[in-house]
Amino acid sequence: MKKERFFSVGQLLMWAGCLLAVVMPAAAEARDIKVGIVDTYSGPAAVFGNDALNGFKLAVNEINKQGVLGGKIVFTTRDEQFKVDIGLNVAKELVLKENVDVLVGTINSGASMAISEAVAKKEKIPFIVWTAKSENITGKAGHRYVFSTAENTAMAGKSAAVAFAKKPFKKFWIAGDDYEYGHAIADAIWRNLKKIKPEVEAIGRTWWKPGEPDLIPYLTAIQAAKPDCIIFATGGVSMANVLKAIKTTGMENKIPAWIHTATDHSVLKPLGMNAPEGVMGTIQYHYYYPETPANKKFVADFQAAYGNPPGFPAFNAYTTAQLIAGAYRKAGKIDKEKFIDAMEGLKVDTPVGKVEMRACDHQAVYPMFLGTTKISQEFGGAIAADIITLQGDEVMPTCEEIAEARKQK
Amino acid sequence: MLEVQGIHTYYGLSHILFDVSLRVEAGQVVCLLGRNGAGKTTTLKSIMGLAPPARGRIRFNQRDVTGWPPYRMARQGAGFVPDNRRIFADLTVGENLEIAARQGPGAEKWDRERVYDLFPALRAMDRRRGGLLSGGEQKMLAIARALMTNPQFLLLDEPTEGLAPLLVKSLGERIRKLKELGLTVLLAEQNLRFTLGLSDYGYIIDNGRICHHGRVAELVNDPQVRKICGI
Amino acid sequence: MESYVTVSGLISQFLVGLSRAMILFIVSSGLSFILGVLRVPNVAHGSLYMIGAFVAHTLAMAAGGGAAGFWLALVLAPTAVALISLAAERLLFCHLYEREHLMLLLFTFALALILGDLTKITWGADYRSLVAPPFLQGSVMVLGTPFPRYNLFLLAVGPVVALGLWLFSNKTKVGKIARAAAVDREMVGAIGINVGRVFAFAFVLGCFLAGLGGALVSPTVSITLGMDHTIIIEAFLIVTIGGLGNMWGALAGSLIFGVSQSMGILLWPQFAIVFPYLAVVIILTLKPTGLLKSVW
Repeated sequence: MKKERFFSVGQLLMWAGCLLAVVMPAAAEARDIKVGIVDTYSGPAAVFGNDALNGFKLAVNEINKQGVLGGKIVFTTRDEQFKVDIGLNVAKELVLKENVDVLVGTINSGASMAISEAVAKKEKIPFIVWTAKSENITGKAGHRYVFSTAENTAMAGKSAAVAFAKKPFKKFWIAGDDYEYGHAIADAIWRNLKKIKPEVEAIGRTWWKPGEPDLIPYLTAIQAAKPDCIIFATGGVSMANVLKAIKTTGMENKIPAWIHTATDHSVLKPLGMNAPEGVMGTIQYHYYYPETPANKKFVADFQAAYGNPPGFPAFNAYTTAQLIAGAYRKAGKIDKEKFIDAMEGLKVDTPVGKVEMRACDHQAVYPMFLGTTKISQEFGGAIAADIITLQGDEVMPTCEEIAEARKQK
Repeated sequence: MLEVQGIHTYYGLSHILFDVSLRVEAGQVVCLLGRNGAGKTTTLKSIMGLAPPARGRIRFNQRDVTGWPPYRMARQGAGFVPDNRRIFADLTVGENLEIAARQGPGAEKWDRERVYDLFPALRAMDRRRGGLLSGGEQKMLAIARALMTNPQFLLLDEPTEGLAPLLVKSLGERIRKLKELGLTVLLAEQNLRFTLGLSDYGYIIDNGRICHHGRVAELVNDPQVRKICGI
Repeated sequence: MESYVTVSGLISQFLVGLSRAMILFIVSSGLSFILGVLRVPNVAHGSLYMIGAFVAHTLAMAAGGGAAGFWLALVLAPTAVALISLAAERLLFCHLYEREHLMLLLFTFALALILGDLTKITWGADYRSLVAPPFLQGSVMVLGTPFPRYNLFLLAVGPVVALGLWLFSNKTKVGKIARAAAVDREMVGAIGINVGRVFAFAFVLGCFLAGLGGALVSPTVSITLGMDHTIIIEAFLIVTIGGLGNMWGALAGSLIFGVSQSMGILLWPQFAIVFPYLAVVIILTLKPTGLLKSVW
């Protein structure tokens, strides 16, 4: 007699069906996109790290209302303390232990370059640099796995050169922070300026340690040399120190000065009504200009959430979030290579209009705003006035120049 | 006034004092005699709180003061004059006395004038930096400084060491004077003869132990004591 | 490269260095004093300097931001710092006097870290800017080169503080006791003085000076996190080259440090950063215990 089986075939099929019904949706169910953020959250540069994080959070909250590919964007942060070795370690940890899908950060150019080379390229994970400005990031050290949503020194340099070409200055003094960013920006400006106006002369260079608090002795020494204009290649906190020293030494309106991102409100605000006037600067974002509805909304939302208006790091980070969401939606799945392909050439909406992530070098194309500081009673301090807008393609290095630079590496 | 009961004191791991006991009545001058390294200074330091004993008790004016910090002992009326003087070299003679001045429990009211009366040589050096004084002058200053705290009880550690005979004699006179004024003294010395005219009672300490004690007259005639004290 | 060094430039730059040295002196004299009396390097000195600057800013802003606010802040900020240090001393520090030396050092190190974080929590990561009162703003011409007025003020304040410290050390009873305690704390106890109180006083006074330095420097720099790190290294170097615990040594060290830095900036801008440290190396090679007598 046929022994009765424990389970009949029918029951087996039923169980199999149930199992599949449970397992398959789980496999097809979306998961959250994990973003790993490396930035500086301690020390003087923390103000920029926090600004960026706030911009990112604002964007992500909006994006998550709709969701991306059925899931949300989640993120985790790590403090690099403005140190390259720490930045490298935490980036590795985020990729290898936390298994993030995409890396973003940081304000330190050195750390960004290190992470780009040793983590992004090696582990084949996309890394979007959102504040560090070294042009090498997407220039000669650029590769498939690194992107930048920060304006870089090449763009700043060319904008400055375009601005100076129109002025009568001939004798320049170059002074700045003695680190990668400082030198990069000084080189970029000088390189581009010399091309447009070969008769300019750099009569001296001064480098101080980054973050040097008392710049008065430096400025008094430079003033003694009587240059036509001073180019300050400073980052982070030094900008405020330079502006303060310009005022204290009585240089204001006597010797013209130019500082990239000097017109950022996070730099000008603490100085209040005592900021110097007549200082020229370039920046890719002002919260009060242009007064487009998109910008106004961004500023209003940011102000409501964080109590102060957004700076350029917040703007960059906001744009980064839009790019991430847009690229994943375009890619259709959470896959690093497809994400990168989707990013190339992607255009997203930002408070200053549509911004494109250029395919040839993975650099976001921003317009640059050139302004001069002027005290405004309404704002209780200095703002950028007489703003001239330079379009993105006016200030970017060409794709051919980028290819050339990468080959020489 | 002072009762030391069976104290054991260590310097780090070194056991220096073994079951040391002694008594000093009010108004007495008691001497503590012994060779170099016998433990005289350690005993004085233990009493003053500079080297608190690990075991045993110390009673001062019927109070248990074992382990009290030096400043409390000083305020209670104990004046410490170390064998190496330890005057404040950077301050002047006058300033050394100035910072020590306080209203103590002693019967006499010592102030700078009275102290200079006792040690006229110091008066002339009022403005001189302490570090520039000779050894003998510094010893006088150390005693003077202790007096400025108006003590009832003086701990003198080898006051005659390194002094010329003439100075030793004059110092002896001064200590006698202080005794007449009612000050109680515990005098640690190697020099038995010096203490003869001064003390009533004596303790002999050898290798950290009290080996003999008695009236000074008896001690002087004891051959063993004489041997230990090198007479 | 052409040289732009003129006589007036040299003099003006020298004065700038001198005025910077005044701040360095005020801060390092406090450090030196604590080092001399307590024999402990106060690692928290830089943090207290930073807090002095932040508190000065907050007070000045609260008082309207004008001249009155500035002077008020100049007096109250160091006082606030002194109170903070007193609290730290009474609550924790004084219990460590009997312990090993190392404990005191570790305590000041821990205090430095805690204060640094407290500063971040209280004031945030933004940097602040304080302005000098109107009549100290701007610059005067010194032999044809502009010299900031506020720095002239610093040149006056420095000697006043130095004089005050000297009077305190040499003419007051407490000052004399402190000097005695620096050399022989046991004996000071043996003459009936509670040395713990002396230490507390010395510590608070030293920290007051750190706060004063911070308040005075605030109109010339951006007030940020990280101020503590820069100043503490400079102050330690100055105290070392001047002679441990020696106030005149702190003055000498500050002058050397401040002036060599500013002259270096004028004469050799690329390597200006190196000058003061070069001076330190030279001095310590020739005189390892410092220029003037150490207290210990």
